[in-house]
Amino acid sequence: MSSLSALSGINRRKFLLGGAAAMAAVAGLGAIPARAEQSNAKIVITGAGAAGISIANRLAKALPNANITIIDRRETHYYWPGLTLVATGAWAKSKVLDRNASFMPSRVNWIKEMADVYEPDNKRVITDTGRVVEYDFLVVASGVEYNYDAIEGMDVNAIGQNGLASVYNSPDAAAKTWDAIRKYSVDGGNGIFTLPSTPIRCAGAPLKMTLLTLDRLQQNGGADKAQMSFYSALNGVFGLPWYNDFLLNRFAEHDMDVKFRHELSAVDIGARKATFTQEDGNQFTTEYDLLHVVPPMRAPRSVRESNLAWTEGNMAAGGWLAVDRDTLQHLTYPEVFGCGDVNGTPRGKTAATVKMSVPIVVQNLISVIAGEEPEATFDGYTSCPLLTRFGAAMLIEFDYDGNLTPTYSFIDPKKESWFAWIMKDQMLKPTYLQMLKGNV
Amino acid sequence: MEGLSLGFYMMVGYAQTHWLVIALFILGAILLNAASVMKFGGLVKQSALKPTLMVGLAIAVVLFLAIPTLSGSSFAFMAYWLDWALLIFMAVGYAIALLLWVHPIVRLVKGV
Repeated sequence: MSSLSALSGINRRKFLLGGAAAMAAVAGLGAIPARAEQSNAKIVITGAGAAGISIANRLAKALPNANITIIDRRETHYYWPGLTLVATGAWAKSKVLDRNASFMPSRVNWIKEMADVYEPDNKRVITDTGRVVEYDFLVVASGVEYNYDAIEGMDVNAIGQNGLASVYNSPDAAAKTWDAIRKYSVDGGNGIFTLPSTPIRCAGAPLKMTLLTLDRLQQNGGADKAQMSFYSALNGVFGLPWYNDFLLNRFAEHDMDVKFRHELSAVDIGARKATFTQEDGNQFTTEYDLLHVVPPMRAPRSVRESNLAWTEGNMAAGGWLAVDRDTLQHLTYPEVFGCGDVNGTPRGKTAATVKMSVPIVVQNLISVIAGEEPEATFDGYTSCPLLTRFGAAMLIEFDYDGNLTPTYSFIDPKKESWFAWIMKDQMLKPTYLQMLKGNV
Repeated sequence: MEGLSLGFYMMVGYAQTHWLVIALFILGAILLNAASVMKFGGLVKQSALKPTLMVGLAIAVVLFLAIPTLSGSSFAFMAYWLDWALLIFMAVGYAIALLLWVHPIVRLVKGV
């Protein structure tokens, strides 16, 4: 009874703060400055993808008095890293679909609209219904925009028909892409895989699609009737030299035609013709039986057209979010942070990058709320479970500088292994869901 | 430390994803063991241990041979020591877990 009396005598705020400190410790955060713990700051997160939900969960645990709002209309959560497996027939579409409501912390105010205008000078976001949402602190986690319109004649509604494939657009498009690839893997013909010149989400996906299609050709009997090509708009196919060479050798083993500095600029879907623009501006058109389109990507319009975007440098063209690559704090507006694909940082537009950068953003945001300087630094970690065939993969992890940074030192990132396949096929989605909950 | 934490939550996530299978497995183990205890008494019977372990070993061998194919792969891609370590770990691990079913079933069949 006496202990109950003692408990009832505890100041409610202190009790909540103590709980918050414990939850923060569980969430992997360091000690939280008292000023931040007690803060009732208005924090707005735009985007309910992997980064947005994960940050919301961590902040909800760490800051019991903060007023946290997340802005995103989407009810369905896409597990983007699984789309390559849907598009190559290994997974059912249902396996990459979840409900955002399942992961949204209960004390977060979820506005089911989309951020339309950022006004960082007035510290407010205006949604697409005209609602004005004011903030003290803002986390931009609104992802990427697929710019299919940059490819003349491209129609995402035609994916799956006439040999047109694209893993990126949506789980539906990925499932329809499998329809096109399945037919191609039986019939063979001229198969073309593309890579644009812009930064893209999951830079390994175009390569996985190519390698797994090669495997499907072997399995379904189309290999002898197929001629595959890979047209990259860059100077290579992968950013790390060793893996670039590995992939080019693998393509050569399959007699693939590889071209560099060739960007897909137009497609005639009915006639099955693709037009590529070369570095010197010349164009040439070729026929195809399968065309895997990887769209150019850029920041969402709302970011691109705001004061939050880069205005100079190689990230300006895509309007990517101008954040410091180490602290992920905005370069002009210190109360603004960025996380996930929208960031204008080198490399890394992957779920693995989100996993490692979310704790950095949360910790630095808490420091700024407390009136301190952000000190946590992000090394640019990203990861690509490169599926080299069905049943084998390489677990590649690296940082901004291209240094290999394996989480487990006993895993050789240059060896194809069944272990890495099991990780990708069985373990990474459960880990991703833990990340959404703020545990990983 | 970070690797350990990641591994822990990976396993937690895996268990949550497959909660129904795990729940049915535990329920089946409880029912089978309850049936054998009520009929013959005692949770473990020494006279049933040898056949239980023999069946467990057979299950481990079958799993060892089947898991690569069941996971969409094949022995041809197992070129790394880590692959073999994982395969042995999975086959033996699942076989040990299945002893929770095998032992009461052996007892019920043998009447011990």
